[in-house]
Amino acid sequence: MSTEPDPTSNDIAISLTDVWVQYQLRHAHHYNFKRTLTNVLTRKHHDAETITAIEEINLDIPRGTRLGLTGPNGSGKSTLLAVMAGTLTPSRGTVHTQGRILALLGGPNEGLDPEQTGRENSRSLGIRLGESRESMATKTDDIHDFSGLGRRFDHPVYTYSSGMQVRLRFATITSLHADVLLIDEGIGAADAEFNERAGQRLGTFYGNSGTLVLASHSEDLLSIHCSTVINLDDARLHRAEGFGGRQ
Amino acid sequence: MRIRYNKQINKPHKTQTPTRYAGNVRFWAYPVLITTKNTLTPRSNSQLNHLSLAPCIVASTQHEGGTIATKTYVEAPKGSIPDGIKDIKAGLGRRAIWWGLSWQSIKSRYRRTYLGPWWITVQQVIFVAGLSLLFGILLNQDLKTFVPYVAVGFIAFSWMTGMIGGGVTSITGNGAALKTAPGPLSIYSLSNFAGNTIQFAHDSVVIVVVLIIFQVSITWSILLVPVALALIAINGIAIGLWLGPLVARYRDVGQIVNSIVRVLFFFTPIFWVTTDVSNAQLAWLAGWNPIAYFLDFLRAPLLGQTPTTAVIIGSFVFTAANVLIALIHFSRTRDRLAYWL
Repeated sequence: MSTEPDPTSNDIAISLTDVWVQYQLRHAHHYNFKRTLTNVLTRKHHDAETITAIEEINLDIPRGTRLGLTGPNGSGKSTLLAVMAGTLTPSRGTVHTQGRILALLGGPNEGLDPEQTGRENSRSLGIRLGESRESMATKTDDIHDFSGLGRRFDHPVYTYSSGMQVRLRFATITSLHADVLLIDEGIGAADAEFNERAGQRLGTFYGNSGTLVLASHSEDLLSIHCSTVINLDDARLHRAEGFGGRQ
Repeated sequence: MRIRYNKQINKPHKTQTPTRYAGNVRFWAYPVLITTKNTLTPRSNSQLNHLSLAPCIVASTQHEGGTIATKTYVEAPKGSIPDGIKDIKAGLGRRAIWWGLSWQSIKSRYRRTYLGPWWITVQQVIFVAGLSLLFGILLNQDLKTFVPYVAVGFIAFSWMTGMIGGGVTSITGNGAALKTAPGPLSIYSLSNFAGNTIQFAHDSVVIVVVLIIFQVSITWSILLVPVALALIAINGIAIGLWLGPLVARYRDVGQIVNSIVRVLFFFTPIFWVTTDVSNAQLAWLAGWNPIAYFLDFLRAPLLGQTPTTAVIIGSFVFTAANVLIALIHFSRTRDRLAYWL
């Protein structure tokens, strides 16, 4: 390849170079007092098991890409999204990102306070993602409308079903300005009506040259929203040269 | 149509520091067009762009037998202190998160009560009254001076131990937020400080009322009160910065700290007086208790006395050590916290 694109260039929304994530399995038996004591006394050294969650990922995602991630459970989809979102520092490798990245990660109620109402939760969520109190005040009506929660928007979240929690989180996150949106099977629990509107909203988002990374098992969802799908089979993704042509 | 391209050339080393690495190709794309490295190389950039428009991914092998020089860490590498300081600065700048949201979480904690956070204040009043009465009579103290002594001591002690107890859970208790919202990680310690300080602000009404009722005289030494408050605040933030990550990694530390804090209540001069001759041994023990220093630093000026030089020097020295430990430990562990939750 003649020209090596700069991973920090404006056209690349996310650039991962040689990214590894390894962690140690600290299982219950590593904390067992009797075991620790016998290990110390017998001078045996048991290392905790090292797990490689993702291994040597090289990936340039140009702006405006609609990338799908799929793969069996435990293949590293969520880990890869966490690395892209910046909540997980990789064990090795570099991550370059351009623009504001918002992520819808974790289970349906991740980051929600059950005692607070939907309205308060969406405000807290926005503030935690860097919005000001004032800008959240202007967005609340939009979030309320889009979530379709109606009166329940002012009820405490512990009364919500998981589908309603998904609605709240999805509506909040997609109402904020983002250059890159990372979604981890986020829209699974909601009903068909909401999924359709969610799909339309995603359509508007990437229609305005937003970059979308969607992790899902649903081939339907991936084929609707994604122009490219990567299967993280066995947690190994090699340099994808369709993206920016790096070699 | 899906094509699965699964050509394993060589198994990569799964050791902690792979020195030699033989690449393997193991992915498929959907919808997909697979070419091998050989057919790919002659293509021009424009062809590649075209390929990426027609959705496809091209797989190729990398590092075939090559050498990887850089080290692969288990979890993330240790962070640098300048990065840690940057994080703390950025955290301080996000006041809407740690101050605003702490207010909100205090409100939500007492959501279904009428008195809200004032409930703690009521509990403090009842406890201070009981404690003063019991030990005032037991130790034969003059209640006119003993009640303000106990009130200030107990409420300040609650503030400090609240920040220690909250520091223990400042990372483990915020796992969901830490994993979903990127940003400075110092906000979790700052939130712990803010939450406890908001509670202390409610409780300090009791101090003011007691000082007025018992007509404690005010002297110039009252000017030391803001200094003492600032020192306690700095220590409260610092302890969360190092204790939170330490507990996230070694959960036993939390249990140890909590049991020490519980017994410290008896070994901190709250309901006994260090100047009492019969307490000489206890007073010597209190000399090893950092909380006793800060307590004296805050309480003496409020009761119209001047803290001793030992107390002032001890407080500043401990603060410096605490801040240093916080900077080092927080900076080093910052990138690894997400792995420990």
